[in-house]
Amino acid sequence: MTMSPRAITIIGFAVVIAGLFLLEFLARRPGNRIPTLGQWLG
Amino acid sequence: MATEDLPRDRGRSRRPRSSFWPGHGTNRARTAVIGIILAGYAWAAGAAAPFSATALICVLIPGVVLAGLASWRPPERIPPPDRLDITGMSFWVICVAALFEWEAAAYRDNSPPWHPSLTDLVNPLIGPHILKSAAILIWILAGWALVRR
Repeated sequence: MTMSPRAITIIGFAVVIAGLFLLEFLARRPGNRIPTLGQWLG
Repeated sequence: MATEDLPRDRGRSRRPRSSFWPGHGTNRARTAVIGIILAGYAWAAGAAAPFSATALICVLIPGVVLAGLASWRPPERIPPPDRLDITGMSFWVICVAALFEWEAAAYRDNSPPWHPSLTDLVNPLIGPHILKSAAILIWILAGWALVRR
């Protein structure tokens, strides 16, 4: 079974956006070195 | 970034620059009224046909209002951290760069069906009126969050 390019594109977007949410989640954990979205936007 | 005017002494309590803006947890009635007005506006704006003059005006109004508030009645700004961890920040840079590259590749190819742009993928999702209105409300709140930075 091979995925279509369209499916790969959609999965790519989903992975990247999920990565952004994951980073925000990790950043909000105490003691983490990753800044939150609000911190680096400021 | 223009953050030189922000106080750095976070230990002290700061008074808002304008009494128009309630602090966290205070004056819930006003917050509720503002929320209802914004939700109503988002609902009305969500009914506008895409790319119409009405839709354009619905986009311009929040922008003008937020720009006016930021200029003449600025809220208490959220101070940035004293420094950012470079390693931690690099994770954000990688993710944001990947998102822009993925979108730019689709946009450059005129968003073909085999590599659609993010906007072409999102448009059908926010087709229903209630979801479109929710997206507009989130967009307004994101603008407000940026004004406070």
